[in-house]
Amino acid sequence: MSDLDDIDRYFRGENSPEEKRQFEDKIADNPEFAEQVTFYLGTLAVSRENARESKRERFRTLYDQGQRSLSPLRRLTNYLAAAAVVAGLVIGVYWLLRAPSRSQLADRYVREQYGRLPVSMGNPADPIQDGLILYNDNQLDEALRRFESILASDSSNFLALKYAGIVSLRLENYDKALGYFEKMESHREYYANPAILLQALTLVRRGGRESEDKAKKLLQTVLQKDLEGKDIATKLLRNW
Amino acid sequence: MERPVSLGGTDREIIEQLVKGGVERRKSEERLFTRFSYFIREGMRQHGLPEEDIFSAYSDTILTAIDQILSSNFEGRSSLKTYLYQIFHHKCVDLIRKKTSNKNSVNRSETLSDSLQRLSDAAKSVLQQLIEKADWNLLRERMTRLDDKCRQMLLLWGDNYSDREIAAALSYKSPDVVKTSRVRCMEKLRRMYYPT
Repeated sequence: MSDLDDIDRYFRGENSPEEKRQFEDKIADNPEFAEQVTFYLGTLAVSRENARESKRERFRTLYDQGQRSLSPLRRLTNYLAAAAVVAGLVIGVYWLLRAPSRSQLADRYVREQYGRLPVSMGNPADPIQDGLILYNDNQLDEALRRFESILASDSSNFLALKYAGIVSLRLENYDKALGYFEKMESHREYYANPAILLQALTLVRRGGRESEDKAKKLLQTVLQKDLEGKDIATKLLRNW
Repeated sequence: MERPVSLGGTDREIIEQLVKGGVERRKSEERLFTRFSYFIREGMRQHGLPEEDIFSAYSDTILTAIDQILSSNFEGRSSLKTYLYQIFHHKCVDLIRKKTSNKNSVNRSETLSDSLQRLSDAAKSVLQQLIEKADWNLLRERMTRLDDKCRQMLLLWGDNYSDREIAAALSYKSPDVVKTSRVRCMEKLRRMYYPT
């Protein structure tokens, strides 16, 4: 029996209490034996370290194999993700660059042409001017009341009809706006009467099959009779 | 006291296979590693560390868990996933703090201190002084010079395989033969370590 054999028995817990005591005393008393115990423990520690390293290598192989087998799926996932991003971009760009709808065109035209209305500084007591100032100050409800109060006493007032219609259109009260623009149309004495165009724009904004059909006819009339608003009529009719 | 939760079927299977030992143990170690290997990707994303570092942390997590299961320190109070994730998280944090400077030396000192716990204070004190003076790199290098059979034998011994399991794995006639052979291998190593 070598010392290593005895040492192995001790660390495997195979000794009796008396043998254990003798073993521990021998370490304290016998430097050569203590050296062998140190060697035994060192060998165990390095073996354990090697075993762990060997397992790490096994795990590495397993992991790499797993990565390889997963990689086609991962590639596909990456392609799909990239395709989704591209599709999102395309859709986003399309929405940004796509032609505006007829309703958007009409709204844009109304805001460009009638966003601010001309105020004459000559007669501050003129109730029309008062309404226009309120309109330009974005006090639409109050402006409408002013124009309607004029119409209450003078129902055929061309400017009051025009502006009451425009304010109603801006307030998205399309039926009321149409009523004012229809009355406005009867004023043949005005060379530049945009009543037909304004009716068409209001109908486009109101939407719906019936309104659009009527709007289309009115816009065609604008072109045929060479009335005010030919440019916007042409644009609206281009892709009808 | 916290009430132990019942482990899922797969958790229980893995633990039973591990404890069973032999070939089954090796299989269950690999199964355990593979089962939660997605922690590596999650760890990379969560901690922003390189794959190699996270892989190392995950491997150490599995090795620690195996040790804990085999020494019955894992009591099944949580699922294996929860248990492993806690260990893994701590190892990742250690990595970030750069506390784990040398894994090998940590493992070795843990093994040595575990072994020393058995001894009386007087014996322990003597051995601690000798351990500090020893040239472990030389021992490690000498071990690579052993023949394959001896190296395999010591590897399994270091992995806590019993002599019976080693006999089965390396086709020895009996556990006693394994024990004798192992001691012979160690003597061979000792002669290489102390040439004079």
